[in-house]
Amino acid sequence: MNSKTRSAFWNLSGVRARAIACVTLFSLLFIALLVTGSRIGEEDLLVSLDNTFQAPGLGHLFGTDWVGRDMLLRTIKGMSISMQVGLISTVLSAVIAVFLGVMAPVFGGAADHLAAWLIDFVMSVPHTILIILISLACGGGLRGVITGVVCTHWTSLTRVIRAEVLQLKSAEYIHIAGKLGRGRWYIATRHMLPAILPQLAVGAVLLFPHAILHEASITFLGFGLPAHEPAIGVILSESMKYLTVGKWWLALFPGISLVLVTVMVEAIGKNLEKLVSPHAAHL
Amino acid sequence: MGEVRIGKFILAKAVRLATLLVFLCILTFTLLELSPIDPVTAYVGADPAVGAEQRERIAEHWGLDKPPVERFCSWFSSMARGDWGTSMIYRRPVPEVIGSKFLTSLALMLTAWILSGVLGFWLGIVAGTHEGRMADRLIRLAANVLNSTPAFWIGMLLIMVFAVGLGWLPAALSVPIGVAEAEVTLAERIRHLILPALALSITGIPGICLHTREKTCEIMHSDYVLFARARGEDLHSIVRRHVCRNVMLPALTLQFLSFSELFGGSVFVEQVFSYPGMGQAAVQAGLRGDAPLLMGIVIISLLFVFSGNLIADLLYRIIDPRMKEGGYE
Amino acid sequence: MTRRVDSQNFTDTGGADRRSVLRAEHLRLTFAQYERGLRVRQIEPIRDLSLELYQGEILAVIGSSGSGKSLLAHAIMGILPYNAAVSGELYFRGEKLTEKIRERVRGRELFLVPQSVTYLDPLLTVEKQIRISLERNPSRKKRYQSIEKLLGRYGLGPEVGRYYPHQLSGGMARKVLLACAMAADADVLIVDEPTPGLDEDSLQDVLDDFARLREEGKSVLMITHDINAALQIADRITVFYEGESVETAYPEDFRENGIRLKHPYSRKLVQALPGGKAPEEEGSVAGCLQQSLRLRAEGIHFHYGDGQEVLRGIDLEVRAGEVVGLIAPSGAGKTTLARILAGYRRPDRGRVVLERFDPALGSWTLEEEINSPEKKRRADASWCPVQMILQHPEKAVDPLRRMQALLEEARGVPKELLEEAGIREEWLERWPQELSGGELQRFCLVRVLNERTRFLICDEMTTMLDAVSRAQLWELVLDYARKHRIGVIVISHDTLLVKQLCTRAVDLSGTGVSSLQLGPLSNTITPTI
Repeated sequence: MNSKTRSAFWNLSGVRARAIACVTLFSLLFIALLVTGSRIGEEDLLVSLDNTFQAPGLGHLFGTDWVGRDMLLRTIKGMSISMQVGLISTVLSAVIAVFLGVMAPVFGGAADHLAAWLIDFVMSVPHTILIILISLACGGGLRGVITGVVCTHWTSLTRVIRAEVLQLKSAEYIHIAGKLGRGRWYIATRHMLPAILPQLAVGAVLLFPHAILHEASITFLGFGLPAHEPAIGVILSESMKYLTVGKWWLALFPGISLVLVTVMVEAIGKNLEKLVSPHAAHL
Repeated sequence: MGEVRIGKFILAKAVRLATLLVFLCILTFTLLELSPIDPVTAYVGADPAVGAEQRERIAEHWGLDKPPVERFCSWFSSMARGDWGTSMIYRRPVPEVIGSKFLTSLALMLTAWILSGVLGFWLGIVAGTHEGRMADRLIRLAANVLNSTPAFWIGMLLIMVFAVGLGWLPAALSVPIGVAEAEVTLAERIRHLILPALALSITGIPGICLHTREKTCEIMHSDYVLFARARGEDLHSIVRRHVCRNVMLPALTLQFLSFSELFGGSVFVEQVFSYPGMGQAAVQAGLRGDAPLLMGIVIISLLFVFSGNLIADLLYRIIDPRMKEGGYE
Repeated sequence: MTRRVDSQNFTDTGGADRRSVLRAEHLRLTFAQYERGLRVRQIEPIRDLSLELYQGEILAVIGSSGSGKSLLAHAIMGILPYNAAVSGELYFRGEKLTEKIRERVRGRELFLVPQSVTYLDPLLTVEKQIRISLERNPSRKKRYQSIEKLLGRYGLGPEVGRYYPHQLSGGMARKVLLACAMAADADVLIVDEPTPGLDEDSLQDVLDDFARLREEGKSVLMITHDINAALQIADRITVFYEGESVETAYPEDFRENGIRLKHPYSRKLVQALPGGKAPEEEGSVAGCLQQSLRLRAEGIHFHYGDGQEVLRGIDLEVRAGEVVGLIAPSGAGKTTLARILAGYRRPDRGRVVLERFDPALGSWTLEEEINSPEKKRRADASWCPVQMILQHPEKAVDPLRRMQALLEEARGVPKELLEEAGIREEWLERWPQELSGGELQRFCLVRVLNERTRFLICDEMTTMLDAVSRAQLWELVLDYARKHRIGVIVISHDTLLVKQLCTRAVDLSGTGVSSLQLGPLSNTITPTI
């Protein structure tokens, strides 16, 4: 077949450049939000009782709550807390996924069956119910919600990695490398890692949206972070009380922020996938 | 031959269900044991009038004073006999509570399931047949945003718009307040069902829509659609004759496999709308440490999800001609 | 290098009485493709293609597999993917083939017969598939009123109408696809790769049917990589190479080593033919039995996971310098045996050993046991003296590493060998996806050709490749084997090929697979030509 490979690496109008720009921009935004939020302390959220329930305006872009605190600041802080929880859960889930996903096929036999069965088990109970149970067992709070989310979210990435390792294990070119006198270290570093790392990176990034959504949802139900930790789920849960009396901004803006951050991370993951996976690149 | 295969299939499924159930019971029980919630305190609340003696009697009444393993064994054996214990919150036998709650939830879930299935399938076909064009981009964008939106917030938005803002529909509960259960008309029930069902189906749409789109794209690129085009069939005929038929089965399968998300979503939606179904009961049971009820709900949810998976599995075997009979070889 | 064929080259081949039904002039086809890392790649499968099909004739377009021949058919039908761009002119019955005319003739007068069962909707029965063609044909005279009659034409019973595509064999599927064309009563048929995977009888059936179509006055454009089939049936042959139609010739021109052919590629095609100049002069690898190294398998037993026993007590001996064929029908465990010999798999019982003749002792001594249990446990692997080339080269290379890295893994390959194998310098920088099967297979071959390799097992090495790649690869293998006195085991279902290449052959088939009959070639294979 006649083909000319024309590298469009630096062509800024290219799809590749767009994907890189998207990943960079959103990652920076993500970090900025995380840092800003964590620098907002209690002292910034002044209670001012003559400013209660102010509708969104120039002074308070997101309005104020029932004790007159600025909702914009509260939302940023809440998002930042939720994002931290999401990040921790994601990292822990990814660690479990790598461990099980690599170990199960490598040891094979009973270990592999056990891993497969565990994945099956976790997937056959509604996640919400399982998270409620686990967070209950941990006595709620930060530890509870993280444990709950981690215990239910490791499955999808584990499946991906396990499948990849299984496939690699039986790949002809791996066998051939061995026959060409290459040892396990060479095969693991030159063939296995380059295949698994991109999958892991993409999979982990795509775990985050689920983790943060579940964290917020569980907190909303009252099983997650306690009321004095102003996470986004707590803010939304509080706003339920004022929903029927028309204080719409209490629920609207924090909700939109949550959705936007989730969409953003999803976009990072999808674009990363485009960059590293040859199959997803057909557009 | 066929009978042996079916027999094997049923046996395998039964064994799987049994192991899942037993493991789930042990896990649930252990988790509840670990939890710091004291059921007696949860039951009597902060009422100082209840003395230590009375608490002990309550504990004894529920068998709470015995060691965990013994309690699990007695609970498990009575479970197997069909006696699922008494709910602490509702003070009625668990099967009774679950029975009534499950029916209420089922109305909600079924409506949402059908609605999201039909809408998602249709949108997926539209997007898939217009791959890369405006309709596809818009549908994909909407689906991706909805995918990132928590179910409870969709519910809150609906309340804000339709119940508070426009005042068209009631914001909460499954029946009007202050009306006796028997007197509620069907119309009233439906009016109370609309918003929760809408919220639940909206959360279900993106999954089925994106899946259908993927499959549709795949089929539009398949050899047989290429042949159809070469034979001069137009888009309408291709969609009707080839795409719909071939996408239907995977879409339906996914829809049955989504029972888990459906159940999970109903928990949030029921909570937002104070809809008195299983989900709300689960939250209450969890918050107040009602172990027998929570266990009952966990088991029912597993059965619910399992039956969905089973139907999906059977669908393939029954409908797909490729599974029904062996191939040429 | 490549020469453009001018249009008069074929316009003068037909008489004045012959009507042109389909003509392509300087057809060019490109498309952009995104790949790993989102690099954009411009692919140009067709650079300059001209051809002309006359009423009532069979024109074969012949080119190597994977060269974009199918895209020619799709370009004519107007069913290319959206990212493809076509330039050049297409004429149908003298009219320019516009989108409007295409819509009118597609599936009616002009019919594409695709190559495999995947072109049939898996959820529609054969009857419904054929009915679609009948529907498209309401006004014209219906030659075949019933679907049974249509199926009957191809020797298929009426029950086939109720079959789903997955219940059809490859040959039946092709017949059903042809029946679809008949139902539409098309005058011009474009047939894409009608022959691969057909046994000799079915192949004859298909070719006979084409002859019958020609007698009925229909025109057939046959796109194929099978030069034999083309020579048997076609009136004229257009040779397609590197994106260009290099020449159009009559089948007679391909005789006598193709001295009447103009383009070197066309002559190469002839030479790759069995019965043409064989890539290897016979006798040159004979007389090597006094070699001092041998690969010996003794009492190999093997069964699959489902308990099915495939190998029962196989004994085999191959000496260095020998070229031994291993033939058997599919499913007889050829590949399994190959994998055991190369140490990829351990047999249930028996062993594979490499032995050296010790002149002092006058007997064979064990040099190495291939795939012994201890070796498996040892972490550091060493170069295996028995190497294997697989049927699908794309499975044998890591898709995430460039070709350069592939050669480095084998600790480098001398430049002369790369040149000998026809590997171009610029290929080293490419990713595996950017090379064709034939090109990849060259890499797979050269990386194992060094002094550490004593035996080479070629498992259907060229089955998926075109005739020219095939000839080049075998030439390289035999040449190397002769020079460096390595033993070669050729596994193939193609008895002709084995006969051409090997000094002797071993048959795994027969009554079960209980034993191997060793013997000279003439005992195990009856010559077909």
